[in-house]
Amino acid sequence: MVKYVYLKNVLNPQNMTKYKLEKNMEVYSKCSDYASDACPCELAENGCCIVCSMCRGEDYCSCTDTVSFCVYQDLISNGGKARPRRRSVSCQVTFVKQYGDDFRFIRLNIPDGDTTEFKKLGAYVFVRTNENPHFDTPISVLYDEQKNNSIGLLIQMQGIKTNCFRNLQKGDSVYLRGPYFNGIQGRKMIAGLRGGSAAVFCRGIGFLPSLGVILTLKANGNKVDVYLDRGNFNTHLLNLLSRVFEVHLSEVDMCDETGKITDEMRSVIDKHLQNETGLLHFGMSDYLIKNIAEILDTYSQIPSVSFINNVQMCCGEGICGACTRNIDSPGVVHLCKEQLDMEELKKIMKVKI
Amino acid sequence: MSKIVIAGGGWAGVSAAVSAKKAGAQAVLIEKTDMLLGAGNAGGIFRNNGRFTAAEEMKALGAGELFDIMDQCALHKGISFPGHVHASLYDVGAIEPVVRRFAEDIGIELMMESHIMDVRFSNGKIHALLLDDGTGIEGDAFVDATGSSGPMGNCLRYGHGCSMCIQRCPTFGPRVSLTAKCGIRDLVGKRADGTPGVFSGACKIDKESLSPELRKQLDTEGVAVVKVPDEDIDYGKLGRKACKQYALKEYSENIILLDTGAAKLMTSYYPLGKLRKLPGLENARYIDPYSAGKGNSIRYLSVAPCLDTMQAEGVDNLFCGGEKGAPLIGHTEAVLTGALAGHNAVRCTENKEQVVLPDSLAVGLMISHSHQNFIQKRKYDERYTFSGGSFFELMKELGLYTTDIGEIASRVELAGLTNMFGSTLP
Repeated sequence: MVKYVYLKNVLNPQNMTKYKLEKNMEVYSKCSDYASDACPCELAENGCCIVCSMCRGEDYCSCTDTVSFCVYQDLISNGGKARPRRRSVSCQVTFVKQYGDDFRFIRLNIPDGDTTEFKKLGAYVFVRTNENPHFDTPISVLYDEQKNNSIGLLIQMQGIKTNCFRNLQKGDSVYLRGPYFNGIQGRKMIAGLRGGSAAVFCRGIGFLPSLGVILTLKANGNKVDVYLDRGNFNTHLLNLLSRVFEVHLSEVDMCDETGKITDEMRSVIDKHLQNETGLLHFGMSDYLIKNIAEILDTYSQIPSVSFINNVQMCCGEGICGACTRNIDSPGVVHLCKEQLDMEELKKIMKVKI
Repeated sequence: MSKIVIAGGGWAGVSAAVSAKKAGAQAVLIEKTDMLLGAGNAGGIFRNNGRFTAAEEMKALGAGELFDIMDQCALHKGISFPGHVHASLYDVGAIEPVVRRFAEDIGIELMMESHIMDVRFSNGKIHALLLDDGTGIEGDAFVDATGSSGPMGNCLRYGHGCSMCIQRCPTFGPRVSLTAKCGIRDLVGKRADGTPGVFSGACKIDKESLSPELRKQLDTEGVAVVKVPDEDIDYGKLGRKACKQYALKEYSENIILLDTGAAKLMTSYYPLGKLRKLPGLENARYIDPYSAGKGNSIRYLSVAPCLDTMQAEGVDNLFCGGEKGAPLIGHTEAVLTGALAGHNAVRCTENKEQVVLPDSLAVGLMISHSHQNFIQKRKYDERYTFSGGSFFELMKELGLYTTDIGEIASRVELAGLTNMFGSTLP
């Protein structure tokens, strides 16, 4: 209980302006950067815009976006040049706390003080501790704290890129680039569900990026059932997070040792499909998502689906190609930037891994 | 009862919904903005030249309700201005609510502020229209009356940028071509010099911003002609204009204002600085489009290849009305194609033979003549209207132009089509 209070001081919901999504003019489009400060980006400048047919060099406008920010118009009025790409900025670490062997919570001070963008659905940032710009680590934003100009990140240290956070102390600096917004696939479906019901399935660390989804769904007046398989994840941390963010968890064993989906999980999914739940969200590994996609395929009709974006991200700008997947549409999709519609989501779930 | 879903609530869409409803179907009209009539909120001219004949033919055919509303809302009747006689002007500020109430009264289901994004299409048939929130609107047959103006990208590349016209794409979203979503390649109208798309032909000035004398002249006579200084005359503009009937040299040498509630300026756009040099217009300001000093909306970039029944080629249950169905200019023309599209949509769902209007009627000739030239002969630089240009000449040549209502009624009677649109399908 003492630890709970301590963590609550760190992650104090009273201080947070997290996910207060009103019916604002947030635009959810095929491109997660559409109409943001970074739009038009270098893709538009170089004839590869995800949204705009005119920027891609086609003869006629075939835009379908509901609230029209005209990428082409902005590109022309900007002299045919992209808006500046997001740059790494040095941020001071104002708080560090270790959880178990592998988890570190860090709080970063945002230099210009504006943390509003960081609370958007699916927001993630690239962070690193050293000068080398080639090894950025993509981390989802746990919360933003407008009062203190800060954001919180919870980092699992498990490889060469994340181990550098192990010795990070209060007062140190890290380089931060972002935010980017494609941490969740299906943002439009999540934001569009109002006054309905949703089921969120998370396994292990998949719970962290799914927190934003849960809170957004709740803020929009939806009934949200959250199912959790702890896996090998730090149980203590999961308990704390669920209490701080006031998320009621139902424990479900989602898979056996071989990765096969359990009957228990099947029956939970089946129950929600029978009850016409409006949205199913999956916060788990691509392997499990693929297995669940196969189960969903056996149903004639399924609701909207969203899931966390597990893809290997590198530049975040849709340029480098680390995150590309090939589905049977013309060209490849850049999953660090591109939102997929339901059909594409289903296809991509199957081709992953 | 069959269900007809109409995309687009301009004159053509409303007309299609009315004729579908009268033929005995359930009519659902989807409009992206908060107002019906689309560009009809910026128009106002009817019954000028051959449009009189066409309007009376439509009334004899049983599709007279919308013309009755226009007559009822007319501010001026029987006025003349360069190249045009016996024109009527309806009050653009008053007509939309009247049309909306009429549509609601006869039982058309209006879905306002609903933006269509896509179609559910397979095996040559549309099954549903998909809205931006993912809702599917299912139907037995569909009418594409989405028009051909915008979206912003087109107005920027082929015009002078979004001029903030009545379509209000930035607010309500861009026009989405249903035919293109079904894989039909849109045909593109061209200017005299071959550039795709043409500017809308008129803009509106706030009448309150005109001098009292000019305002009084508009109020009493309905028309005012102001001479343009020689150094400002631009004949080149005529080729870029949608409305062939106003592409006359008088319209370059003069400023022609018509009273449609606002002062309708019969030119696509006119720099405000130059406009304010003219007597009586020293304080003029534009109200539609707001940027008419710089540009206007771009149209005719999305005309679908259609049969004379208005059925889109390649889709069994999709019919086209208005500018989508043929390169026609004006409300009269939109009401005509819309009514036929709506009527044939119902016939299609009930497996009845579809109607082609005969060439012995001006309205039938308009559809076949425009389709023949635009689709078959690929004359993309021509637009058609009853009120001027080559088609009005053709009407006169064939003796179809008349203002004798009795003759028009007997002409429709002879074709065996009296009250065709007015009665429920047997």
